[in-house]
Amino acid sequence: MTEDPQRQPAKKQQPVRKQPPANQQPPAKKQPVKKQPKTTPRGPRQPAAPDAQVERPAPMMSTPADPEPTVAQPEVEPARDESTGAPASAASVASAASADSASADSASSANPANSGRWRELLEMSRPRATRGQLIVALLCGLLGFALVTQVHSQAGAGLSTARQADLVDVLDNLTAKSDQLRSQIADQQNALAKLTGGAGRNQAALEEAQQRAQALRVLAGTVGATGPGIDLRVNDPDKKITADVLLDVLEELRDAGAEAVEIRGSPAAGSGSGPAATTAPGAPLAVRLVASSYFVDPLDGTGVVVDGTELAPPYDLLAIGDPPTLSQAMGIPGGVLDTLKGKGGSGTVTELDTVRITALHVVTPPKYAHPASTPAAGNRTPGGSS
Amino acid sequence: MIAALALAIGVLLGVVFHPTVPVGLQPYLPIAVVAALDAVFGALRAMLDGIFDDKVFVVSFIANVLVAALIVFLGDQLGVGSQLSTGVVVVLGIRIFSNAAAIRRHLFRA
Repeated sequence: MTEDPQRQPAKKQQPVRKQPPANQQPPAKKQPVKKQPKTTPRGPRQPAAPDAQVERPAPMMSTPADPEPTVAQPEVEPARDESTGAPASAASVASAASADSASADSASSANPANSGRWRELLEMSRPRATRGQLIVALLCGLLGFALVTQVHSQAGAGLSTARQADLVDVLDNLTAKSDQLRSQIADQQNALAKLTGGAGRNQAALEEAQQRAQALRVLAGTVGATGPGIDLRVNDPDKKITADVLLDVLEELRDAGAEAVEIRGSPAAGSGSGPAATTAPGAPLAVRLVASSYFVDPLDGTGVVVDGTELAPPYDLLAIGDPPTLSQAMGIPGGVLDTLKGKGGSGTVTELDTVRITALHVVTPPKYAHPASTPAAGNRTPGGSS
Repeated sequence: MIAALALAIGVLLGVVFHPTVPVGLQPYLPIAVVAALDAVFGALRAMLDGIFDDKVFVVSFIANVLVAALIVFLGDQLGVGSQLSTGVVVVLGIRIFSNAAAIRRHLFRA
């Protein structure tokens, strides 16, 4: 076998050698393009072949071109036999034309042609340690190496292999994108500052409003209160203390800085408990004194009616404030205590560390007055709700 | 057979050694690879046609690579490198396709 191929190509090469440059390329281009029109390619091809080649290559030139039309031309069954036969005959023609000694090779290539081209391919690629094969192998190895190297370099370095124009494009794109992103960042930061600033302001406003609401609730008497203060006990054995005296006492307490005031008294003996009575009859009644509280003398002349609740002496006025200030205010000469004494009653002031005011005032929402601004509304709502 | 084996060995070597492409060679290597691929496909087809020749293959391989590199080089010098290399790739790709079609017709008769 080693002798054959050496001799064989040597004989084949004479016709073939000049062809491939003309042969490898022209059929390659003509095949896919001119598959359908078979008459036209033959015309130019045949005159071209004899020009370039000697009389022997002419059949060679036509034979590799022929099998394809024969394969493509008849699509029916007999075509297969003919087409399989055609390359075989082409090979045999070539070998017969070259030399008779090549009959062994032509036979070996003709037989597999019947069974299939695959064996022919194997036959062709059988390892033969000629110098040409080695060079081909070297080149193929080089190709594989270069291929992998290129793939690797392409995968590894994305931009380092790019051309200048592409790089400029990429740079432009990136610059535009970064500008866009930067403006987006600025927008977002503005929004963030707005939101956080607003939240902080809202939070502060809310806390302030809550504190004010809390203070106003204490003032309005809708919540209980506790703190230092005094207990002013008013004894009225002769039932001479009238509503205006008690009102003076309350105003004096307020002047002295009382922040929350409650009046307690025994339930009136005659007329039962009033509408705002908080506890069962028999227990002391307590009324929270607020801005709208009123004192009225009852018709029967005993006790006093406070905010609709009829109270009987002795009264206890619980006031939350600075205890010394309050007690001094009560003891001013000509003040509350003196007035009470003058009326035939008596007053006793007790300073307490903790005064618990539990009576609540029921706030009725104003019918005609409406808040003029939002803070006022904020104040009113919690007061009304609790 | 030897050629296929050598191709595999070359791929293996490339994978193992992981070489870096010299900067001067970087624009030409991909085009050269495509040109070489074209030569290899042409050789396969010639082999199926029964007209394969070592010398022709070697010459066409080297010539393809050199011409492709030369075209790219020229294009780079003229400022149309990317367009020319695209053109080369297109032409070589068409040839590879047509060669592959011929090979396919030989092997599968379809």
